[in-house]
Amino acid sequence: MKRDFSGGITIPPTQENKQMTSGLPVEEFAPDTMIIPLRQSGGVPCLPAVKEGETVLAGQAVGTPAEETGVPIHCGVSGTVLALEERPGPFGKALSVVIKNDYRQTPAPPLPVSRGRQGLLMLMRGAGLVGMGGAGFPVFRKYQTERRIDDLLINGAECEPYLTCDDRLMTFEAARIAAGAAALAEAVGNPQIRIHMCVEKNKPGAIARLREASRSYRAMTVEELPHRYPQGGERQLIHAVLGREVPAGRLPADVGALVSNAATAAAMADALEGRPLTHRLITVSGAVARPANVRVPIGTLLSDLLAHCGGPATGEKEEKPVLFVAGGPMTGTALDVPGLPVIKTTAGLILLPKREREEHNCIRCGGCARVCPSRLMPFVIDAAVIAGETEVCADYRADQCIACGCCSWICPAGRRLAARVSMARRGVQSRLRRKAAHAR
Amino acid sequence: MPNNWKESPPWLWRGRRTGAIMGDVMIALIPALIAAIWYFHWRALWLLLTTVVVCTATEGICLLCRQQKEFDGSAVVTGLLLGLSLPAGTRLWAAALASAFSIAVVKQAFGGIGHNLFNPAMAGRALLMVVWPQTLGGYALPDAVSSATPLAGGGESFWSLLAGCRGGSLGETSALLIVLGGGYLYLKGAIRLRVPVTCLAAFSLFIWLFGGESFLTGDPTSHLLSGSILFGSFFIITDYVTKPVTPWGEVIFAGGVGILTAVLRLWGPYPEGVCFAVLLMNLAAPLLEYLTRRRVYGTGLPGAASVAV
Repeated sequence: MKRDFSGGITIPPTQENKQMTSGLPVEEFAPDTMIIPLRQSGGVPCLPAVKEGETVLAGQAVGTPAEETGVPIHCGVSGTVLALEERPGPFGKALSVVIKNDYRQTPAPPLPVSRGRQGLLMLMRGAGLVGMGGAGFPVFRKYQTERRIDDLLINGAECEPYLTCDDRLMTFEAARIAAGAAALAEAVGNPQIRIHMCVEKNKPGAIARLREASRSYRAMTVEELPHRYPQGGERQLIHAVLGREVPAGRLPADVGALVSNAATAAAMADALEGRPLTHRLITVSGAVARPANVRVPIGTLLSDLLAHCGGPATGEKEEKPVLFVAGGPMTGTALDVPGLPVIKTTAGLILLPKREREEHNCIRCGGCARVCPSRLMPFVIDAAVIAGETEVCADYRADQCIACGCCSWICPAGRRLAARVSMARRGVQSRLRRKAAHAR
Repeated sequence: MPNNWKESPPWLWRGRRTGAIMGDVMIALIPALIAAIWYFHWRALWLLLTTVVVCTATEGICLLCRQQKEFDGSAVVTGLLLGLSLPAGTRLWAAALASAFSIAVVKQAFGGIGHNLFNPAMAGRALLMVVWPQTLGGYALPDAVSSATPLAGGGESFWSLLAGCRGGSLGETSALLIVLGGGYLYLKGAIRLRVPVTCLAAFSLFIWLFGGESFLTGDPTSHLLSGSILFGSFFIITDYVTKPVTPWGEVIFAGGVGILTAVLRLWGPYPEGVCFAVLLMNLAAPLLEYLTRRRVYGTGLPGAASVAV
């Protein structure tokens, strides 16, 4: 049933630079001060669960969800709450808990652990689990589905250039990922579920370790996938492994599949031992003095993390302005200063040289249409956005853009296709929502 | 439009710019250029120099007037293609005029690279064919006074056609060298094989069906090796701007050029039909592209959200 997904690009190794960090062990680092934003996703922010001056323990909840759909946020170190104030975060200024580390790691009482479908869903929620590979959607809500789920895909594709944190995690903690994946599968409530560990074949170490670890579990297999971006896109992965196409506007559960990141599975294994999600592994790479994979508590400032790795690389080219990318170079956010804190979904801090990209006329080479995993025609949507033709954007299904950036990557005219198609996507999607609301 | 659009991912680019693609086309044309100069000597050199210099200069002037500075080498390619598509005997002033027309009227007046409806080189050639046919100077044989292209009558051996020792336009002399250049473009990923292959297949089939004394007795081989069909298949109809982008659009477009060329050759007023076949299919390209759009991933399935207006 295995099929290739549509479109995609092969990024040359000279641009991928995974080798900068792919052979290194994992480092631990916790800074003096942490800033935990109570807004960790595009959803509703949490409410503070601690007061200024209060002592916190490692693993204690510092934010409680404001709505039933949210999850709490926990602190990874023990220390004192210095302040409760507005600080810049990845989703704009948000109320944040500022914590002074006392370096004692005094543990909070473990989470109550129970098994069975409802017990595990409660545990996922209590441990603050969110999808660690993407938008940070609460895990328990995904697994609450009433659909029959036949396949659980553990996403270890890690197709973004530079990033190797999932690779390192799978290599060093394959057994934990397997245990976490088995628990995730149990939470689905279908005893016949198959578990697929999906890894691109450029990570032979991770594949070997996962193969070994998965032997202890029933119906757990390792799927070796070709190395191509965006292999780790949710819909692309489902297509590649299961040969199923998720209909537009529907969810993977509608085709009987769920996808969770390898780091999420590892966090689930921690939760089984009563430890909430407080840390994550981050790749620090690019023009940095000492590239590394570092495990840091949520709330660590990227600037502290960068200082831990020796700061920007110095050399003859030190005068060049640097772009600080939070996340991967294909989809991450660029910062002028690395002043933002690490949140549950931050996978990387990549330093790239700042380059000007001049936009020229589209020569209609069709490269963008060939590489688009959604089979869109980005160059048409690009022109329609500039001309303000929203009808054309809808007709050409801009709403199906997955914002992978392949179109911009390949464009010989240097057009910012991904930026404009994403813009058109938001426009068309809001129209779809209005239409749906109207129909109701 | 939000003003932060410049600050958005991806932060990596492949880095192969338009100029590099044009450079590849120039490299691919080198074998055909060498053949043209080998067979037609100074006449070819002067003609090519004229078209390239005039095209490039016209592009430069137009870009200055339009206050743009994206010189990407596409005008040089147009000059080379136009020069190679003209017979060696073409008057130089006529070639210069056609070059200026190609760039100024057909390309820049429509908005510059990427916006032209017609292939500039073919439009320039058509101008001369229609308005001043006598300026093309007949289809000279290499170093000979004959004015016959194989298409206009007279049999030439298979091997002389393959090697290029035959009459015709500059770029249509050696079939082998044209395929060599086309192969380079394919290997560099600049063209997709379905374009030339469909065009040549449709052309051959049509010639085989209707090109002989009776039905099914046509001789596609000599037709393939003579005239501009090979050159056009690899270098003219693969022009990104004036063909559909979609895979099926490309196939229909290329097939259309092949069949129209055969029709014009067999029953048209001119000995060669590639030029007008290309221009006609250029007109159809936008519609073909719209009609052959690929199904967007995830759409058209049961339960899929639609955007019905």
